[in-house]
Amino acid sequence: MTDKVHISTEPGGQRLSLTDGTASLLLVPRLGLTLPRYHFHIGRVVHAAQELGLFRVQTTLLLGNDHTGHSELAELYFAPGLGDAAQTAALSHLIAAARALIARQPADFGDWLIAELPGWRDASGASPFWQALGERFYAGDAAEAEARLGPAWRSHLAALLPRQAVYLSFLGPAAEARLAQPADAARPALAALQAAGFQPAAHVRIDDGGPVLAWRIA
Amino acid sequence: MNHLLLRPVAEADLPALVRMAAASADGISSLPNDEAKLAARIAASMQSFASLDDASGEETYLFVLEDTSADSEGRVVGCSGIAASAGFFDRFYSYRNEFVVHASAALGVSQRMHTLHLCHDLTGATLLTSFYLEPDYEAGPAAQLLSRARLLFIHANAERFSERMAAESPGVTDATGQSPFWDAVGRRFFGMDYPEAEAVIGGRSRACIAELMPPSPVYVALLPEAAQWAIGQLHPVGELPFSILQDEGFDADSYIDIFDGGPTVEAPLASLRSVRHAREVTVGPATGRQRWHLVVRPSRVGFAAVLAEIGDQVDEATATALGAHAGERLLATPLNAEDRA
Repeated sequence: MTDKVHISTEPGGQRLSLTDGTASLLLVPRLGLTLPRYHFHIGRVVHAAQELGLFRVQTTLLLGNDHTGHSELAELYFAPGLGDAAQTAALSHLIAAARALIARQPADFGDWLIAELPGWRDASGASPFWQALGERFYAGDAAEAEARLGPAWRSHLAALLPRQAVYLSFLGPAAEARLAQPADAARPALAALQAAGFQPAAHVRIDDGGPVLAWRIA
Repeated sequence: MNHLLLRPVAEADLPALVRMAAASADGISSLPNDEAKLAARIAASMQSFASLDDASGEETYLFVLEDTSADSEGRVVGCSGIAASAGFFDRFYSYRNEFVVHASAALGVSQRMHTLHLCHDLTGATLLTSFYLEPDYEAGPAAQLLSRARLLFIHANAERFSERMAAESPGVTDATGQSPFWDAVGRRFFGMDYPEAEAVIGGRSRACIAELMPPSPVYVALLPEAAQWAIGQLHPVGELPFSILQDEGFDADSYIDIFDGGPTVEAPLASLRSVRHAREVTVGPATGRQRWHLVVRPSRVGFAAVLAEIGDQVDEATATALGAHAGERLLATPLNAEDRA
């Protein structure tokens, strides 16, 4: 399979492209070593009051740089019009090729390989996670800021977000329900990552709550 | 002298307390609407006033206001209390208002974010509690006597109290007893509505309940607007006692109640106006300008307080009304702000 993949070196890592041009990604050897990368870690806290017969499990979000130094499958690209099944198959090839590269020179890579997917949005393009959290801390136009700042957008946004653990229940049911859910368009990619053994998201993107999947390299 | 007398609660006051507890709004008064609990409050108070032991901090004191005018025949028209040490059996929880600046030059934003921090700061402070006054008496100086005489009692018996005073005030609730602050904060962690939670909280230490609340700060920006607005807001029934404490110099900006968001005021005892302007008086000739004062017999056993117009010293009739013996030293503090020298 890997003979269908073309590999080129770029400043940020290695670009893996299917030779038929239908899909590509950037394999980043170590992320977050120059520009800090932020994610929310999804945690769990149990509040129990035996005397009251209350036992409540709470989900928390803690801002951090947990994936610093890990490797990443970034800039996932699929040719327009590529069907869902074809997207899943294409990404599966690219993941296999990336793993083969990593296996040849493991010292160049981190302990984990991660992939971020965009978070769920409604038909109008609105993200319930952003509306419940990010928007309360940055009143400006997120899309405009992201277009202007590029990959640095989330690092700057992080400076405005809560530093202390946020209890998910404060964000309301809409955001709660969509936490770590990918955009509909990213479902084929999610399927490929899951099939490749990536673990369910323990982290999410800080703006739209999209899932961050991780696979243990070493 | 007018016709009001503040004195320690006695066993015979139980029917009056039952009447006042029933009249005060449910869930927002610190008087339990329960005869057995009120009897226990009376017994605890009598024990605290009479005890010869060193103070342990668990003491509670309850005062009642009597209308001594001929028509009223000593009818009890109000009450107020003191808990020597907040959270005596455990911890006393509050939310402390803190502001954190979140800034990003690249995004052109620098803003003060309001956060609420769960804290035990007021544990051990002396709490002013149980204020209730019949509506007919709210317009006059009765509320001043009822609330502020406690401060002189604490001042005169300082070894039994903290140097730091605090008082809780009921937060806003709607017509059905629901609290917007509770709905946005406590409800998420208790899964019950406010009246139900109040009923559960009533007989228990609040500390075990606060174990259910998040230890990390609450970002106010994440709360619905109604809950944000309720932070530090008073229930209308709390306005009168709150305004008296504000005039005394209590700070209302630092702490709120963790359940309904009502303001919890606090101040060092020595900074309070009634205490700063208190002076010792004895029975003597009517020299000096006659001004209205709170005059108290400060001893723990036999404590009493009245309102009287006095000059440099106190007159015989006032001393008699207080039950003071000849030559006993009394404490007086001006009733009105303009008379504070």
